[in-house]
Formats: sequence, structure tokens, C-alpha cells
Amino acid sequence: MRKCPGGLVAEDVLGGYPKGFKVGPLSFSLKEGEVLAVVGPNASGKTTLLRILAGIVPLENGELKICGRSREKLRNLKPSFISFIPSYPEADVMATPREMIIASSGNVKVALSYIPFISEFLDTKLMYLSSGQRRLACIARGFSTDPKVLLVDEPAAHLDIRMQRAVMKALRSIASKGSIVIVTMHELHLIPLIADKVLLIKDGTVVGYGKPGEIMKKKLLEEIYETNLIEVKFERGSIYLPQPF
Amino acid sequence: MRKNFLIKISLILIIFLFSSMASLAVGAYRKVGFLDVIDYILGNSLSPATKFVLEERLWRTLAAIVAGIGLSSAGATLQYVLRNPLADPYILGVAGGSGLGVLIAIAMGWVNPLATYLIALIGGLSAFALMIFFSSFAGSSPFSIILSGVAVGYLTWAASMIIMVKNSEKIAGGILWLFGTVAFSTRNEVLYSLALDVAALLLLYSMGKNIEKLMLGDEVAESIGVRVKRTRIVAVSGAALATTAAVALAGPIGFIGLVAPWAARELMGSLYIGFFTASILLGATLLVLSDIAVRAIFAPLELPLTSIVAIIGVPVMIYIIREMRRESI
Repeated sequence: MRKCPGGLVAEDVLGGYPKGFKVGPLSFSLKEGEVLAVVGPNASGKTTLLRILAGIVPLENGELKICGRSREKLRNLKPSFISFIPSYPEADVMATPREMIIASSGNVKVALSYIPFISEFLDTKLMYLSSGQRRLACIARGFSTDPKVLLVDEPAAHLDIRMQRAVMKALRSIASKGSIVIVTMHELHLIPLIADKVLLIKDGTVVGYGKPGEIMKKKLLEEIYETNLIEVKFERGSIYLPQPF
Repeated sequence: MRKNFLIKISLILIIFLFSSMASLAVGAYRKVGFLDVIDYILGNSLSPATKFVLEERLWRTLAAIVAGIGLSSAGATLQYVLRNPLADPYILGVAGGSGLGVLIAIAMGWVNPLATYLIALIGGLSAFALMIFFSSFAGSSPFSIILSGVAVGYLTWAASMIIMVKNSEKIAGGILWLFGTVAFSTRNEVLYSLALDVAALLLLYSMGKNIEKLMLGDEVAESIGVRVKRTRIVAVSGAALATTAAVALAGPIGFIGLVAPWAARELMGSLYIGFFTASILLGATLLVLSDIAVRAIFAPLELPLTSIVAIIGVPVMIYIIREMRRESI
């Protein structure tokens, strides 16, 4: 289980593009095996936050410690440390899912254990796959290194409801083995299925942080999304639907 | 998978070696043929005339191999690091720069082949430097590299056209070079280009694992420790060096840098080392075979290399397009 001693601690983290959008300062902390959902409207800074954590966008201020080490010292680490899955796959369309896994030093068996559906098109070039299949291939690649920290930008994008459920299950399953998982989410109905904690952000700053039941409140969500919602209660919490027009 | 890889590479290598031997056996002087080549390889005694003919053909064959390696290694690398299957060595603007250099040399009346070679080299590398400078305005993204290369290509072509119009009588002799040929390559030129090829290949092979990760997209590559911008610029520089070495030696031979990597991708898949190695061997083989045809079809008249490369390469390309249709159903 001891995959990432010390967990992930962000204190007053501020970062972003040198002459552009910034996110922060924001603080949160995650223990091994916890799943955080970053939620907020479009252009609120969710992806930028993931990029800061992944080391793609510079951290300008504050402290970020991952598994007891500071983020600045985490360059040139093995892919088995942090794995980042962007929402928009930029991978070479001439490559196959198997080649993508090998190129990122991953293990095909590990990928299949989490996302078994890719076995059908493991050796098919991405250019011949549907957007949903490509997305599954990119997600499976992210899992294939069995990382200590898994960052997934919009894990449900492009996927049908069965695949969404399968990916959510895979995220919970890797967390149960000690990995720290951070996802961004637009699908508010999936949050009760996976998240231990929710970070609600808007315009790059924190609006709420805590357990899903505490944060996913109708009034707060209506305020930050600037739209009316319908609340549907079920045993694990509430899910929210858009108001009909 | 590894066994499969070795079998395929060995087969390509055998075809390459056989083509190279055939290239020694074919030429305007028909009395020297395949049996003489065998004697030459075994070190048996040959008449001085036969030996002379074989050695001339040997350097010509080496020139075709060196140019083929240069163009196909550049094409393979560019398709890979720019993640664009239509990238070929000429999108860097390098060939335009070399061509401009050669035209300037001809217009100025510099007839020394070595001087022309060096000018072509300098012209190509200067055009490349200009391209990198332009693309840095947009962070050297794949798109900015392609766009800047096209801009530099047109710029050098514009200057070349003006020089050609102003020096039309002198230029006639340079036309064959512009079409691509290894007929006049000298030993020194072959050796210099070989040295540049070796340097480019060492660079590209040594950073192969990082280049391979660019396949995953810039963000993913960056998140697993690849310095994406630096890797891309260094890889593109290696490709530019290989292209310039080929163009200075044999002129801007078209199509080979596109078709060899495509054929290699079909055979070997997308992992860099296998794809790159197969591209180099296929590029060299295709150019050696094309050069045989160039000499043999209307002997003693020499045809432009690009025309034959296209005649051999286009059916390969059409076959690949047909395969794509079959798979996409």
C-alpha cells in the first residue's frame, strides 16, 4: 500500500502561463489512496492546475510536495511516478495503443488490467479508431505505468455511459492500491461515485474544498455555474441536472 | 516482437546489399558486369580498366547511399517529431537554401565542385537557421516549424528565380543539379556528406528514446520528463544536417524523404528506433535502385533522379493508400 508516503500537499500554490492566466493561491492535501475531483465552470483553471501538478506549467509561488518531495525536484522522474492524461489527445495518429504504452515505459498487462476494453484495438493505429476508443487508449496508457500519482483531465469526456462507469471504477481501483488520483470533472453526477474530496474553483481561485457531501450543494453550484439546477437525491448524495428550457 | 523486428530489418538489409551490388554491375560501359563485381569483392585480379570502371561506380553508388540515408533519416525524424505524416525534408526550407547557394556559385562563375558543395552546405544551414528563428516567435511548435519552413522555402525560391532570369545562359549547366543527380559527385564530397550523415545519425539515435516519447503528445511527454522544446529543436537540427548533406551532394532529390518513412512505418510500426532504421535502409535502397535506372534506361543519357524516384515511389505510395482504405472500413 505505501505507494506515496507523505501524500500530496499543496500550500498556497500559485502558477500559470508566464504572461497569461494564473491559478491560485490554493491549498489542499491528499493522503495515499484518495481521489480529488476539481470542479468548476469552463476556463476556471482546472486544467491549468493539473498542468502545474504535472510540471508542464511553472509553479510560481507556494509549496507543492508530492510523496514527500518538492515539485521542483521531480523533473526527469520515471513515468511510474506521476502520470498525466490530458483531455485532448495529441498523440500521433499513426501510433497504436500498444506502441503508446511501450513509448511511455508502461506495461501492456497493467493497462489491460485497468481498462480491458482496449484489448480489441491494441494494435490498431489511432487514426482508425473512434474518438471514444482513442480516449480509452490514452487513459489506458496513463494507467500502464501504475503511477504513484495519476492526473486525469476530464476522464469521462468522449465516453459512453458504460465506459464512463468503467473508467471511474478503474480510477477507484488504482486509488485502492495507494495511488493518489486527481481528476477534473464536468459530469457532476459522477462525482459521488469516485471523489473523496472536491475542490471547487472559479476564475482560478478556490470557492469550496471538502467532502463531496459538504461542497456539492445546490445553492453554491448554481452560484458558480450561474445557472439553475435540478437536484436529484440518491443514497450516495445528490446529483444535479440542468434546468429544462 | 523482437524476433519479428530482427527478421524484417535483416530482409531489408539483404535487399539493400543486393541493390548496391547491382549498382556496381550496371552502367554505360557494359563490358563490366556482375561477375567482375564478384571478382572485385573477392579481391581477385582485374584489368586496370575494369577496376577503374568499378571504382567510379563504387563512388557513385556510395553517393546514392549517402544521399538516400540523409533524406530518409530527415524525413522519418520530421514526420515523427512534428507528428505530421506529410512532413518531408524540404519543409525545412533547407533545400531552397542549398539551391540558392549553388545558383549563386554558378552565377558568380565559381566552377570548383568543392566550392559549389560548400556553398550548398552553407546555404542550406543558413536557411535552416532562419527557419528556426522564425518558428521561435511561436515557441517552436510543430505548426510554427512547418509554416516557417514553407516561408523560408518561398523566400529562397524567389531569390533563386531572380538569379536564374538574370543569368539564364550560365544556369543551364546547373539544371541537372536542381533535378537531382549523383553522376558528378566527387570522392571528397561523398566523404564529407558521409561524415555529416554519421554525425546526424549518431545524434538522432542517441536521443531516440526521448524522440519516441513525442509520439504521446507534447504535454504527456513533458509530464514524463522530456524537455519537449529542446528535444524537438535538436531533432529537427539533426534532420536539417542530414538533409543539407544530401542536397549539397546530390541536389534536391524529391519524394524519397516522404515515401521511405511511409513504407518503413507500414513495415515496422511507430516505435522510433525500428521505424528510423528501416526508413534509412529503405531510403538508401530506393535511391540506389533509382540511380541504376537513371543510368540504364537511356544510356548513355542521364535522367534526373527525382523523376525515377517518383516513378518507383508513387506505386509504393498508392499501395499504402489502398491499404489505408482496407483498414478504415
